[in-house]
Amino acid sequence: MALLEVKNIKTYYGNICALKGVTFEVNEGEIVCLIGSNGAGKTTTLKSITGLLHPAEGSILFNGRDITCMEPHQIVQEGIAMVPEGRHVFSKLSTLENLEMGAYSRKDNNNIQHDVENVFTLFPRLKERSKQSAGTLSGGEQQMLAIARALMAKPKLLLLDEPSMGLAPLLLESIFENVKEINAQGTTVLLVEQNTKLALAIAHRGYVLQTGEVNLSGKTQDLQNNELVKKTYLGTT
Amino acid sequence: MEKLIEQLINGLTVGSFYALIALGYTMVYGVLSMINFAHGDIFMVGAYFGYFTITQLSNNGFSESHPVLAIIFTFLAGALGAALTGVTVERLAYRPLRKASRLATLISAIGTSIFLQEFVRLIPKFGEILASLSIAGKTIFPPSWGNAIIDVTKTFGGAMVKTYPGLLGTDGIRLGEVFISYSRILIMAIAIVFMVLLFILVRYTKLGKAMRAVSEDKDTAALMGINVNRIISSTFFIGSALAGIAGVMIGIFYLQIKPTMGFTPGIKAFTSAVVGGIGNIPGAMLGGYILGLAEVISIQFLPAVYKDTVAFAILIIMLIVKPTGILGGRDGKNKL
Ligand SMILES: Nc1ncnc2c1ncn2[C@@H]1O[C@H](COP(=O)(O)OP(=O)(O)OP(=O)(O)O)[C@@H](O)[C@H]1O
Ligand SMILES: [Mg+2]
Repeated sequence: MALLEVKNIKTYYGNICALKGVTFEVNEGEIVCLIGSNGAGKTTTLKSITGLLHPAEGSILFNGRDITCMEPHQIVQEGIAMVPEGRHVFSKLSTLENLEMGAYSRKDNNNIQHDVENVFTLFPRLKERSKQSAGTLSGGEQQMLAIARALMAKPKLLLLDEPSMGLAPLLLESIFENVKEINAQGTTVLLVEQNTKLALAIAHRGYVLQTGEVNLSGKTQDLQNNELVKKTYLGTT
Repeated sequence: MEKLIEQLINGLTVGSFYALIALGYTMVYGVLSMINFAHGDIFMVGAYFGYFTITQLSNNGFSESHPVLAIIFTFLAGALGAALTGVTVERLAYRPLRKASRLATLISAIGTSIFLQEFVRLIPKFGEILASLSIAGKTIFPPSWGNAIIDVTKTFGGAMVKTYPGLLGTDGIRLGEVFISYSRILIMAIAIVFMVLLFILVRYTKLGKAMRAVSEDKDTAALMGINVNRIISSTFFIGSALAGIAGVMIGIFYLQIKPTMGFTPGIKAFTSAVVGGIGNIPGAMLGGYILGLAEVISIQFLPAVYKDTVAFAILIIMLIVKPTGILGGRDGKNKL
């Protein structure tokens, strides 16, 4: 049984059908990437999983439990955390308070301090800025904070929506290294990326989303060699 | 000089009412970006709960034997009554419209304001109707219950002005030539204590941080596992409780309450919130005191009937000169 099973979900914005029946799964321990061009429905898919949007049809199972109709705060408790597109750190809260918010749903208050230290080891830059309000961090630091904040929930599954957005190449690689490390420490990752090359480089498997439908999937090596992927998403031939 | 100090204290007393009520406007605006125009009436409801409690306590002699406890119970009743009213109003009148246009919410708020005033006014009528409810020619409640219902509802509400029993009398302390009544001291002290408590709550507690997170970004707050609706309810609970406390204060200080009493203090507290920067908690406190002081100073120079005009003049000037308020953010997006 897969950790996350998305079965034929259809999600609408009013009358606009953004997902026309999306099916995929994520197994425990994997990094799975979801690639596709602008407006393909990647963010909509993640929002449907986290409960910010509710699919009109289809179902989403997590750990065998149906989470399709749950509210976002309940889904967090099931073990899914998300790094939203565009970071969305709480700008008026300090770095440390942002991390505390990440741990909001946890009952084991005593271990939170310890986990704060852990994410500071992963992102030492954040430690230096722990008292600073998050709005004054640089874009890259905010991205680190958004990831660190999601990790504070101790999720089984981490959803990342375009962590590469607006980052300088050097930082970009280090963020992707972080993602690999997070995965190596036992967190399953579903990664949405425009930067197909990097995404395919760290993921085990991938799905290609086009106008609300999955039209390709497979192991990353296979996707890397696929002509369509090469042409459309990697810009190589 | 003594006169001036007494006027200053007077201003701070009135400012305490405004500041406490203004906090409710500002907190609700902070989390929902809406003006709760029924907030003045929630304050009125608090005054009525307080009135009911204190009259019961003085009828059975409790307030004679335990004056301090009686005052505490009165404030508690006012705060709780207003808080539950505020939470109910949010649940029934605002939450269903959360995704609707601002105009729809505004109209709902104005409707709620009228509803609360009329409800309090008509409570004795409801009592009579309830007592005379009958099935097959027999009243549902036995006559003794019916009379009790009528009694309670008569004491609680009604169109007539109600008079708080004078709890603190007119005694006070004299510092040189300056006289300060106990009721003023109590009011200023309670206001300060609750403002400090609120500040600590919002700054340092988990609930307060969640309130700030919700105020900034509801979807992301939900992704943290925060139950956004529960935080919004808590915000209404706290803001309304503070208004209820102010309602009891007005009862203790001015002695008279009536169903329409919420309007003017409500609008002035709203002005205070705007002056301080709506959405900003210290701003609401500051704005409240500024308005209170401006009012008593204006009485020195202008006929007393202009006192309300001054408040609105301040509102208009503020909206023209610095619409985001004294402590408001420059982007106009004030957050708790
Ligand atoms: N709030 C909204 N209201 C209406 N339509 C929307 C809304 N959000 C997204 N859409 C539409 O749904 C479709 C999918 O959008 P989505 O944000 O999921 O794309 P995406 O794959 O994440 O794109 P990008 O890579 O640009 O982030 C798009 O056609 C978009 O226009
Ligand atoms: Mg997107």
